[in-house]
Amino acid sequence: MKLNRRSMLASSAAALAVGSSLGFGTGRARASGVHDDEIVIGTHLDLSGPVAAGMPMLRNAMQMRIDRANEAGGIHGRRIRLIVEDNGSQPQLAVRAAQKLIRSDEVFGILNPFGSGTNAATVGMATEAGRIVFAPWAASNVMQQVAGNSPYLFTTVQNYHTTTGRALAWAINEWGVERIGVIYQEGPFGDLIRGGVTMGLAEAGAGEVVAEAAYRPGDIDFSSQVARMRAAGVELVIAGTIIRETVGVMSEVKKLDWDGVRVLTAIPGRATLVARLGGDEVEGLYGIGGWQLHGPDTEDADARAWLADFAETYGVDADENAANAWSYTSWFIDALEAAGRDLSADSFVEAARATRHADFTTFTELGFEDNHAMPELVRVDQVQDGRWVPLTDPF
Amino acid sequence: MRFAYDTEYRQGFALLRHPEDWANYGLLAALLLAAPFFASNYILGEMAYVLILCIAAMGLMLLTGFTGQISLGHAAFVAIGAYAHAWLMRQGVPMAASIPLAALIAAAAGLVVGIPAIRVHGLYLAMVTLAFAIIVEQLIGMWRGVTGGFMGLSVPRPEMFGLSLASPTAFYYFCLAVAVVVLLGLLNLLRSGLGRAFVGVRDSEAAAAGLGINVKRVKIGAFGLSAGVTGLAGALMAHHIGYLTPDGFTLLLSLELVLMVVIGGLGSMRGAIMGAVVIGVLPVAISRLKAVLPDVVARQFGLELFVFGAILAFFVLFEPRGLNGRWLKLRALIQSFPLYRRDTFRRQKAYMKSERDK
Repeated sequence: MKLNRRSMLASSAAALAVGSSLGFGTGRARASGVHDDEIVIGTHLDLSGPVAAGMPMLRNAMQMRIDRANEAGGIHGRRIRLIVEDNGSQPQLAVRAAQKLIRSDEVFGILNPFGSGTNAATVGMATEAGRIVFAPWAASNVMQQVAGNSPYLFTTVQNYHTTTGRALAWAINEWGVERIGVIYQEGPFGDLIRGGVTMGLAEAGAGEVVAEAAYRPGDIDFSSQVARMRAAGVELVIAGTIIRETVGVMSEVKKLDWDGVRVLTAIPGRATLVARLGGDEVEGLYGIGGWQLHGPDTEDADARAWLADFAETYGVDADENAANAWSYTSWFIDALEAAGRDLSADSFVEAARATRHADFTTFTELGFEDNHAMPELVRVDQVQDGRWVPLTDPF
Repeated sequence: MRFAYDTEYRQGFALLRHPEDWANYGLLAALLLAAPFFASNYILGEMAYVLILCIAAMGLMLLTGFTGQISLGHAAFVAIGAYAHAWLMRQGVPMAASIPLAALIAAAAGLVVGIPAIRVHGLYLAMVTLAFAIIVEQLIGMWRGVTGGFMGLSVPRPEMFGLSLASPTAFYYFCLAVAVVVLLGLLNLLRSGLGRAFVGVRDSEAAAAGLGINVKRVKIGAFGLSAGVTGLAGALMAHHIGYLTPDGFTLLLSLELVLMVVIGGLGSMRGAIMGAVVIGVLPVAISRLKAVLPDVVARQFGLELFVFGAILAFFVLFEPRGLNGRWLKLRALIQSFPLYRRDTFRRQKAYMKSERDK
């Protein structure tokens, strides 16, 4: 046979095609990441980017839950090994991290990956490769859409639009407010909050948005936004704000001595840190809660034991992100247990859909509906004496 | 020791001047071409991404390293290339046409940014480009009809002339081919009259003008060309990411590109490639390093930042001429051993500096 460049190329292309189709076939038959004595799980967090400071909580909580499972004998005789990769909050890096996890480490699934753009770039790739993606820390409805409602994707983060809408409808009926103002962040988070406000107005059948003001991530001065709210005679401000921004909005409201206005912050703003950081300025702030908060003085025995355990293991107090990461990891491990010794991505999906989950973070027992954690209960809390105090039962 | 013994003027321009060059670069080319036969799919994916970074770094090197224009906003051109390519492909434009079109769109944007470059220099130019990048990032977020806004835009699978490029091997070969074409194109350009005009403008605008070079045109042209090459990298990066959101093209990416050309060594395409390889591989190297480090250190958060910063500081302090400078010294040491003189590479006065020292 004469070897020229074209025949070389043709034969190598054919070899590649055969090789990749073989690889694909075997990948489906033998669940990747599942070995005789080990299950390999991956995650990608922002270890070097703008929110890197918050990541130890997630990683430590996941690792602690996995360590506990391993100490208790593992999952049907298999130990869980967690591989943590860096996504730097950049989609490009996240894709590389996910490719490493999928192609090189051959993980069974990706658990608690962090970030909206980073997850948007990786959930599709992971589910197409037949890997489980469990509890991505990003807008759940967007993730489901990006992954084309893949059975391998399980979302647990409450949707910001539906929860905001439900709480707003409650507020309109309960407080009799008519004139609503919205302060939102430019970006996907702000889009969801505004969508939720529209849903809430429709549900309540009353009220109207009389002022809207946007801010950019990183803004620290909210005087113009709050002034616009006041000029429009707003009775209820929906603050689609995160930690620092929530405090910023509230301190501006206090600075203007603007009484008679209620400020209701969405799920991310209802954080322990807001109550602690804001001090007097956030007194009276309302917040939409999607999960239970536990401080050191909590009355929940499970939560207290867990907080003590975490503090002893890592030398720092756990925050609510750690609690959620622990909770989601617990759920994942329960689903692994339920899938039995004969573990594959498909057996996991079947088992996970049948699991129910409740612990010290959840309002009620959760299950998966269309692979999303339901029911999405919310509760309205208020900051009183520097602590979030529930005003309502979960609804 | 080796002496130039040219019998013709044009011999001085040859890209590969010596038989060793042919052998070395031939070996490199053979290794890169054969990579899919021994490297895993994961490694191929990584190599493809590094090649994309190489293209973007070459684009910026043309502007910063050869024309002396600073840009802190090149992520904007990557973004424009990526979004233009994704949008065109979604409109049904075949990839073979959409990639050059995306590069042209980015180049057009570069021409627009190049206009202020006539008037402002140095730090001020850096600020203009920075502002441009921020505006572009905002525009991407707002222009929902085209970019999908903050929710993002999925990129169609790469396919050219009926052949799918989605497999790691095919995509790697495609990126390699584009990178080689860009490299050869730029090298050829740089040894032409226009290339020398770029260098002339960098070293002294007054002298360049005195020699009859139209400084304004050269500057705007360099911006456009650089943006076009960077946009081309953006089009490839769209396929790497697969789902575009504005947070892929932030200031961080611009700074990474600047780091690549500075660490690589300003004023050399080899430097751009070396810089892109180092910056591109660094996150993976750190992640691998963690596996062998003791647990206490490996679990320390901020290790990535620390290593990144340490390497940067090291280069700024000990090798301002970058990786390429270090490589040239190493090569000279080997070639002239034991007669190597350290003073060969003593820094020259600024007005003496020219492209000829490579």
